[in-house]
Amino acid sequence: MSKQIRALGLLSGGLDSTLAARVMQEQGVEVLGLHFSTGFCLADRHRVLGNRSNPDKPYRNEALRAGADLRVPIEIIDVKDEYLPKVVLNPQYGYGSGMNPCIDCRIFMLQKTKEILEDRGYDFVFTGEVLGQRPMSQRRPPLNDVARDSGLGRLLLRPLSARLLPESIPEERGWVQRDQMYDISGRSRKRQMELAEKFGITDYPQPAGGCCFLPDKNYARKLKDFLAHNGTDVSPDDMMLLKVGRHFRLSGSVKVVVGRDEGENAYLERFVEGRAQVWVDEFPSPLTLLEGSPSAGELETACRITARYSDGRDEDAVPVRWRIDDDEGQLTVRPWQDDADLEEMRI
Amino acid sequence: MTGRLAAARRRRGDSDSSRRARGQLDEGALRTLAADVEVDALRTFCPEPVIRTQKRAATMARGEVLMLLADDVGVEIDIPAWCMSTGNQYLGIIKEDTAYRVFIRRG
Repeated sequence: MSKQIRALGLLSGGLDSTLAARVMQEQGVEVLGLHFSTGFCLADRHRVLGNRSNPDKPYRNEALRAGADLRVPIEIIDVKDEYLPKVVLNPQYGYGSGMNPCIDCRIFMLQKTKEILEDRGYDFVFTGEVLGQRPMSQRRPPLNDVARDSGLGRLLLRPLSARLLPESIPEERGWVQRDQMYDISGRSRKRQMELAEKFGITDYPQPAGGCCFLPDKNYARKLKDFLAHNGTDVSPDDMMLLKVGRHFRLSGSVKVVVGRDEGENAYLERFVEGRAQVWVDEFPSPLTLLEGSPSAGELETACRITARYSDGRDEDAVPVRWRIDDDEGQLTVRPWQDDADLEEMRI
Repeated sequence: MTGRLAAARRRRGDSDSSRRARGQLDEGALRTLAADVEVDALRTFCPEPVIRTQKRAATMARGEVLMLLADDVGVEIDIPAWCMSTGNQYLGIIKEDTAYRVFIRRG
């Protein structure tokens, strides 16, 4: 009886990784899907803020959904604590359009995967990468760099583009058949969609420009500001707070985060511990959180900004509530009117 | 998604009988169920409730029951999906005013 071949697959739940896992299943390979939680996942933010068009239908975790559909066990690997210092702040291969270290990210995830492969005796690793699909990380040179620097080398298989790439160990040893894999390349999804149809895969997320905050220029600006003022001692909560709200820097040590809608206010509610809060009782208003210890002047500025984004913005004076630790009070302020000044403070 | 599961989802209703057929318990039974292990994931966001569940479940014996306490609405869909992919049994969910209690039997 031949040995059951077991592979680890990086599974985001997108179409490519889902197809790659399905192709491996077709070849009789037992698959464990790994899904890395970096703290920068765009989908997580959508899920936290809720589905505005259908509040009763929360967004799903696509990796778990794909695992359930394919009957592939999914293991979520929590790398939040390591990811920022090791990958985001010190990328060997540099950044893309924002603060996205895509090549280093792949290397990091595959290094982690290699550790699991060795610990648990898996045979090889596969991904849903497609040659030429992404401008930074999926050209031929970076694909080679990723295989080499992750330490996986030829144990790394890309089933969707395998026939365009050098022979891997799983092919060489007959664990998988090269002619039953694919020669897909480029940015078009046409062939993947045809393949999905062939496999009866009908429910998959539409490509939406990636799944990570880091290429987003607005997010990158907030992250750079945070690092410039707080250093690199960053908690996962700090990263979470950068994902929502309008951010204004009042001074080197004080910043305000103003909720943009009910969903963001509810999100911010979870981060009130250790942060000053500002809100308006008399009108619908944002919840504003203050990072740092505000002076009296900074607290007043935060109150004026909060009033500016409340429904009382056109009033001459708005009573604004504030809470700092166990102290609570009220300031009656004129809502901030000067948009140019506000833009100066906006991060 | 494979057509198989999509079709199954379309076919099956969420009646008491279909839930029982999938091994789920009704709310009365869930309320009297004694969990062997409790996991607190309150005030955490996806995917943290799943990560905590996965970590704790790895140390449990087959047949033991885990109760996850969470307030992230995503657990309603993530935990059943996680159970389906990993061979654990999703027993059901109780929605309280401010939190969810999700029950899983270790498979």
